[in-house]
Order: sequence, then C-alpha cells, then structure tokens
Amino acid sequence: MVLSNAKLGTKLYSGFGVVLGLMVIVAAISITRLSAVNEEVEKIVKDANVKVSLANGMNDQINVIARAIRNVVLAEDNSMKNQEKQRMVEASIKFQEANDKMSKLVRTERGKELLANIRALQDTVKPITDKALALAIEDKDREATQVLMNELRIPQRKLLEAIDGLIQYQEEVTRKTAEQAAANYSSARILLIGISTLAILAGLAISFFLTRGVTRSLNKVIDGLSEGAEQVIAASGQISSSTQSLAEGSTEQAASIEETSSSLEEISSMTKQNAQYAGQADILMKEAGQVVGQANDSMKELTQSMDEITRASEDTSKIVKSIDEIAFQTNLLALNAAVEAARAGEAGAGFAVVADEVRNLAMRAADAAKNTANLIEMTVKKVKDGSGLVSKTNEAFVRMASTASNVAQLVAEIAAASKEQSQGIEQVNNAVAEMEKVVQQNAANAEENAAASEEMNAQAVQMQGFVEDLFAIVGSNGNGSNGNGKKGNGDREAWTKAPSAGVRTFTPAPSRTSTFHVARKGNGKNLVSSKRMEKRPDRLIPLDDMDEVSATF
Amino acid sequence: MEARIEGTVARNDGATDREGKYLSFSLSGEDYGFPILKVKEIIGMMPITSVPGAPEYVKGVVNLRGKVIPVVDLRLKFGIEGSAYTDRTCIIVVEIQRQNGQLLIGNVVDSVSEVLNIKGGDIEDAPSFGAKTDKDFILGMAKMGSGVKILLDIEKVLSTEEVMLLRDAA
Repeated sequence: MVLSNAKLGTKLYSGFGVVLGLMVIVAAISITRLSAVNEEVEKIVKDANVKVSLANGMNDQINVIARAIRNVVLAEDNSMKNQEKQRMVEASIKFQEANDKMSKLVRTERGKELLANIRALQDTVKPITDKALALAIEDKDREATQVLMNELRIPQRKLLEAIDGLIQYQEEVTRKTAEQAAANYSSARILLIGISTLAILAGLAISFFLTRGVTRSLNKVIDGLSEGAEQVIAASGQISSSTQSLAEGSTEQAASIEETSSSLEEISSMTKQNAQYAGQADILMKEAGQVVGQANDSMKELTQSMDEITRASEDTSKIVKSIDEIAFQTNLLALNAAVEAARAGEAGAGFAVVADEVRNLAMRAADAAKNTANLIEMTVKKVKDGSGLVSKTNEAFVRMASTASNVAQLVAEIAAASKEQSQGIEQVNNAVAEMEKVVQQNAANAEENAAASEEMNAQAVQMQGFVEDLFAIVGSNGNGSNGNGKKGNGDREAWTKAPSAGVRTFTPAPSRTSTFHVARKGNGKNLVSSKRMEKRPDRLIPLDDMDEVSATF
Repeated sequence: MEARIEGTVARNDGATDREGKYLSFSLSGEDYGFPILKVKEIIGMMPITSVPGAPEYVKGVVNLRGKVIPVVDLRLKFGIEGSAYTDRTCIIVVEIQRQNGQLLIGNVVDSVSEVLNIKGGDIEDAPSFGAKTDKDFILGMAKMGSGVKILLDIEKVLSTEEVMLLRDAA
C-alpha cells in the first residue's frame, strides 16, 4: 500500500479518515434524505395538516354557525338567542380567520380554486345566515326556520361539502406527501445501506491492512523488545553474579583487612613496647652514665689519693735515700776508720773494733733503709699496680662510657626508629582505614549494583510483561497468550520472592520465559537463553529458598 | 763479720805474705780487693774536673780537702766498658810509692763492700793466660764463699809512664 511506510498515526488517521469520510457521506446522505423527509413531514404538519385543521376548523365553525342559527331559531329566550348570536358571530369571525389563514397557506391551483369556491359559497351562505339570524332575533322563528330549511340548508351543505372537499384535498396532499416521504425514506434507506456496506467493507479492508501492517511492525518490535529484555535479564544476571563475586571478594578483603588491622595493632603495641623499652634503656643508660660519672669521680679521688701516696712514698723514699746515704757515708767512714785502724796497726785495734761496730750499725741502718726502701718500692709498685688498675678501670670505664654513649645513641636511634615505626604504622593504619572505607564502599557499590541489577531485571521483566501485553493486544498467534500473561504475572511474583536477604541474588523465572518463547514460535536463540537462565537458580538460590521457588515452578 | 785483731806481720810466703786485710770493692759485677795498707781513704763520688789531653781512663782530678788528686776509672783502665756513676760509686784513694815519694790516686769503683781479713790459704795465684803484662797487677785470687775476689796490686795497675803522666797531670 502507498501508506505502508507511513507512521502508524498517519495510517490510523488515514484509515479512520476514510471510514469517517464514508460515515460523513452516509451522514450527509441521511441528513439530506432526512431533511427531505423532514420537509415532507413539515409540509404535512405545518402545511397540509394545518390546512386540514384549518379546513376542519372552518368546517367546525360553519357547523357551529349552523347549530347556532338553529339554536337561535329554536331558542325562545332572548338571552339564549343573544348567546347563540354571539356564538355565531364568534364562529363567523373564526371562520374568517381560518379562511384568511387558509388563503395565505394555499398555494396550489386546485387549492386556490377550492378555496375560492368556498369563499364564493360562504358569500352566498353568509347573507342567508344573517337573514335567518335577524329573523330569529326578531323572534320570527318560523320565518327563520323557513329560511334555514329552504334557503340555507342546501348552500350550507354545499359549503360544508366544499370545505370537506378542501379537507379531502388537503388530506390527499398529505397522503401524497407522506408517500413522497416514504419514497424518500426507501431510497434513502437503500442508498444508506449501500453506502454503509461500502463503508463497512472499506473500513474492514483498511482495518485489515492497517492491522496487518501494524501487527507486523508491532511483532517485530515485540520480538526486538523481547530479545532485548532477555538480554537485559541475562546481562543483569551476569551483573548480579559478578556483583556477588565482588561482594564475596569485598568480604574477603574486609576479612583480610581485619587481619591486617589486628596484625597492625599487634605491631603497633609491640612498637609502643619497644619505644617504652628504649625509653627505659635510655633512662638506665643515663643512670649508668651517672654511675660512671660517680665512678669516674671516685677514680679521680682514688688517683688523687694514690698520687698523694706516691708523693708520700717519694718523700719517704727521699728520706730513706738520705738515710741510705747517711748509712753509706757512715759505711765509708767506717771503712776509712778501718783503713786508718789497719794502718795504725796495733794501736788502732780497738779503733778497728769501733769502726767495725760502726760499720755494722751503718750496715744495719743501710739494711733498714733498704728494707724501708723495698717496702716503699713495694708500696710504690703496689700503688703503680693500683694506678695501673685504676687506669685500666678508667679505660674500662671510658670504654664503658663510650659503649654507654654508643648504646645511648643506638637507643636514641631505636627510639627515633620506633617513633618512625609508629608513624609508619599510623600511616599504614590510615591506609588500611582508607582501604576499609574503599572496601565498604565496594560492598555498598556491590549492593547498589545488585539492587540495580535487580531493578534492571524487574524492569526487564516488566518490559517482558509489557511485551506480553503488546502481544496480547496484537494477539494473532494466541494459543495461550492470555495464559502466558497470567503465568508471567505469577512467575514474576515468584522471582521477587526468591532472593535471600544477604547477597542479593536474582533468578529470572525460566519457566515463564520458556513458555513465552514457545508461544512465539520460539527461536533457538531464545530457548538457549532460557536454558542459560535455568541454570542460574541452581547456582544462586540458597538452599532454604529452594522450596519457595520450586513451588512456583 | 767478726773483728779480728791481727798484726800486719808480713810473711814471706808467697801466699802468706799476701794475707791480711783487703778492702773489697766491685767493678762491673766482679769483686776485687785492694790491700788495706795501700788504701788511704774512701770517698763518695764527687765532681771530677776533666783534664784535656789526658788518656781516656784518666777521668780528671778532684779536690779533696784542698788536695788535687787525679782520678782514674778502673773500668776503662781494665778495658771494661764504662758505665754511669751511681750513688754507690766511690773513689778509693790509694797511695803508691814512687821514687819521688807517695802519690795519691783516686780510683773510681762501682761500689765499696767491706774490709776483709783474708787468710793466706784462701789466696791462690792467678792462672796464667799467656800475656805476662796482664797479670802483673793481680796479686792473687781470694776464695770467698761462692765467688772469687781478685786481689789487685795497685802498684802494678798503673805503669810508671802512666804514673808520670798522672803526676804531671796533678
């Protein structure tokens, strides 16, 4: 069709337009015919019937007049006569009125003729009536009656007949008009039936083609949407599974972060302990330094006293030396004396003895001095040893002091390192906290993802529902499209119940989709995808939900 | 040591005429002895004024109570290496006879020990080593305990020319 590529709206507009056009034609025809019939009816009502009624009115008035004149004649009472007269006058007026109206309304030649005839007859009747009336009023009843019977009766009867004739003529006219109207009606009916049929056929054709075209495109769209919905479901399934693994990974990560955190706690506490120990060591080192200082002072004092001892010893040794010298000199003197005594011979014998004794004394003094000198030497040696020990000790102290200072340095470095370690741990803690945040965010994101994928799935299912609706609307293959729709609803509900509270899984309702596809002359692709979906519930549904889900299958 | 009162009667024995009192001293660890009669005086070490042009073993002269006495270092005389003077170093002033009278000579020794009374039996002759001049001044060897003291003849320690020199120097 020319319009096959146009928009649906255009198609519908045009289709409806055609039908409407035909309807309009039908309406126009009906209206024209109806108006024609209406005209006829109007004619009948407004014209012919009016004329008939007018004519009847005229007839009535003439009858009234006739009765009235007879009553006048018959009446004996003047008041009654006057009443009747009045009535006659009124009737006459009315008759005239009707006549006038009639004369205005009558248009046909025959009508006019009849009316003229009536007028002529009335013209003849009226005077007679007047005459009778006058006679009656004058109480000349018999004359009046005479007039009535002889003069009036026949013309009056003619008049009435004329009026009847007019009436009949009008009725004839009416009848003819009615016939016309009936004829109009039948022709209109035939025409309308024909055109309506035509319109119906045209409408049917248009609707058929339109429907077919729309249905085809809708089917295409349905196919596409359905496939799309399936793929979205598949994708959301994948997203859900990957989200689950992400959530699992996040859980694991959180656990390992917990472990790391606790290890860090331990390390941190150990570091603190280390720092404490370092501090204590530092204090101890300081104490040791103090002790060393004290020892050094003591050593200095010791050295001083040893120096004093040495000086005293030196002094003593000086004295001893002088004693020794004295002894030596005495010895020499003694020797000299011995020499002189020897040279003096006998005379010096006693002197030799004295010299000997002196020498002995000198020797003793020398011995004593030597002993003392030895003692002093020993003392000095001891003092030297002591001094050596002191210097060794001093050295040791110095070494200790240097060691202590080294240790103090090391301890200070340890303390600094501990501080840095603490800082490092702090930083690592911060990093771990950040990581935890990230993990939490990941978990939250995973939840969001799961929710979004659920949402997506719901939307896809909804879309499938809409597609089903569309399908239902489009209809044609419908083995159980309604059934599908119902099943779909039920299954959709099943789906929303299935997922557990924790990691949000989703299971598409495979049965629904499979039947859905079967109903739509299932493509192999669709069946495969539904099979793929059928696997998922086994993987994702936690065991305790199995009953719930299987019940819906 | 006991004091013995003995006369200094000279015996004509080779050994007995050497018996008597000796002043023992030490030189470079060896003990020697001078006959006591030759010893004039023993003095402690005192400053020695060196004399230029004198032989090496002549240390110089000292002033002993107004007398100028030449001093000889026996170590150098004996060819023993000289050593530093200690506080025990003494000068033994000996008297030697010469034609023109007695001459006082100081001998620097390491230390002076004692006056010993040595018996003739304890004195042995010096063993001969070949060179006669060397042992002229050894009077003998005295056996003292564990060691041997060499008794010196002071007259022969210094030869005549040397004495002349010394005299000139003094």
